Amino acid sequence: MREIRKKVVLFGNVGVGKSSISRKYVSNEFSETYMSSLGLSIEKKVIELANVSVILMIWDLAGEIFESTQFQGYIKGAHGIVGIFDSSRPYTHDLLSKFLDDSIDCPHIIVGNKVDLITSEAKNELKKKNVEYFTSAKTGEGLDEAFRGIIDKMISEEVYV
Amino acid sequence: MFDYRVKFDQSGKIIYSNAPMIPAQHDQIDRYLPLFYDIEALEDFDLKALRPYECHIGNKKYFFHLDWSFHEIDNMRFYELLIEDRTSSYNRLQKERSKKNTLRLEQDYLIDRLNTEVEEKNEARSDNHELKTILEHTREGIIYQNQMTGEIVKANHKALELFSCQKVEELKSIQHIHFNGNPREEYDPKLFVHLWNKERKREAKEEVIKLNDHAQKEKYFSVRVVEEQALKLESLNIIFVSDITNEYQSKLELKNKNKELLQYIESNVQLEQFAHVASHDLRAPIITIKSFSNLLKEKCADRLNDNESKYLNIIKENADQMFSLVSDLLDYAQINSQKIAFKKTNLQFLLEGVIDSFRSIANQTNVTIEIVNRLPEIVVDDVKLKRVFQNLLSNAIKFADPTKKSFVKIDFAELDDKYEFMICDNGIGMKEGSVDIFQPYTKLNLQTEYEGNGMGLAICKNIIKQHKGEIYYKSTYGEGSRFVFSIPKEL
Repeated sequence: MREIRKKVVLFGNVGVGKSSISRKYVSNEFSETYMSSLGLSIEKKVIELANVSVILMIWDLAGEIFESTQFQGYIKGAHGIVGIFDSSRPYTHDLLSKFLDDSIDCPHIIVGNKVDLITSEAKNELKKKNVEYFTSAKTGEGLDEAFRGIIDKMISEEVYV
Repeated sequence: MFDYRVKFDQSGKIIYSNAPMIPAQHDQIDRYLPLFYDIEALEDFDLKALRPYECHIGNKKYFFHLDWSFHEIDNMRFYELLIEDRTSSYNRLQKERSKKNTLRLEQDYLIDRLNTEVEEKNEARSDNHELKTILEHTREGIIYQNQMTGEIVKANHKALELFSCQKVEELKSIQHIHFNGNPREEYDPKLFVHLWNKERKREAKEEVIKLNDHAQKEKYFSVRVVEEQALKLESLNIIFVSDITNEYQSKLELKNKNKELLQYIESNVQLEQFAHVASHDLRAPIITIKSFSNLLKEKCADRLNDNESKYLNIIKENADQMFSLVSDLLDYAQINSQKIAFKKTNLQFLLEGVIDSFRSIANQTNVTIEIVNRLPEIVVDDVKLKRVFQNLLSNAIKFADPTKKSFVKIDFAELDDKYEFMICDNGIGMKEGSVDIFQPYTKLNLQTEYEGNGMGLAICKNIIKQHKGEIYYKSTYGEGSRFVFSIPKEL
């Protein structure tokens, strides 16, 4: 089976739940206690698809990096970007959306985390802003779909190229 | 400055390590430090910039500062990784940063909530203002009622006006009776109180109430209670009230008149049925009287004296007259009882047939009959319309003036939505009077002067009415008459 390695960078504002998503997706762990990330953390997850084994290297960046000038250095060589915002703080989406539109040219998706904290009406409002994926690092809801979404985009980009 | 050194080759295999958390030699470096999963790709990276590097080795979390260098021996690249373990200091920093960020998040959340509340309040204020304007200017009375107690809390200006009240307190004293359907004993006669009881709570049903307003004037009101949840007002019912006194009384009046009309129609139908049955059944005994008085006259004429002959003639003449009267009555009654059968009819042929049947009598009375314009082919009940022409022609000939050369002219005109037919004569004409000659048994002349029972025009009117048309006349005494009837194009 063919093996491919993909670097996926998670980014978003402070406190949107990037590390929680990474830990839950890779190790199925979740902590209610908030610990702010300080720099870079990398997790590895292998996903077996029909004809290919995808080794996903998930770069979890501290929220502060997202706001710093070093950001471009971290995303260098990334195959995909997962932009994460906090569904219960809609302004975190606006910042993210603007950044993705202006600075990113590799495959990317936008994920609304903490979906367990919002109403279905609020979710519908966010859908109107083209948010395709909603996740909850707490319950694990939507995580597989979101990562499958970015994998598909990265693979289709690779075939196209 | 650096605590540990780890050496590994270009395939990532560890050759040397003095780091206790990376003890295994000949193991892969990325097993402990996933950062090195693609060493080649990392060569361009300045590891000093990726600080701190957080990783989990075993069950423990570490924060490292990293630096590295490499050298080549026989085209093989070897890497030396320098590790500075900053776990304890970064753990402290992480706690402090987390605390700070938590506060920041909480602050953001509070600001966000505050902004939302301000927006909601502004919207509510604007909505409230709009609502207040609408409530005060609407033509419907609006009353707010406490759901729990049924007490009237407030009312708009129109509501007070409708009940002739100055203050809301005055509304509370008004009593009403339940008016739609049967009165219900459990209703509190206080204004609207029954409307909020449990079984009606979620309905917005309209009903009519009758009451004496504050000025003791009897009025009818249409009342509708809006479901409280629809307006998101948890403790109030909203009652919409309109004064429908005039409307209700007109409706009531109309209802009574309709009832009266139905009674008239019913009695008219019964009368027509009676006339039909009576005239039909009376014909047989009259024919018997006529037959036997004729027989008596033939068989016993030589045995009767003058007086007896005279009496017998009186019996015979009256029997004839009665027979004629009853026959006409039967005809009149039959016109209404027979179903009308419309079909396309050539009226020219129909009228020529009628004229032919009058030819002999017309010749005798010296009356000429002329069709001025050729009559059209239209949809009518041919049998009944033939009767109309027969009756009008018969009258025109009957009332011809023997002192002059008489004529009857029949003409027609096509208008936008109807056909008009005219029968004109230069006969004796009619004096002006209040008598409606289209009523049954109406005669303007004595029986002795002109034969007839006065049923002909009444029959004509009924037939034209069945055709949804009209009939009228103009007449000048001594100069002649002109009868006009119309048949609509769309029947």
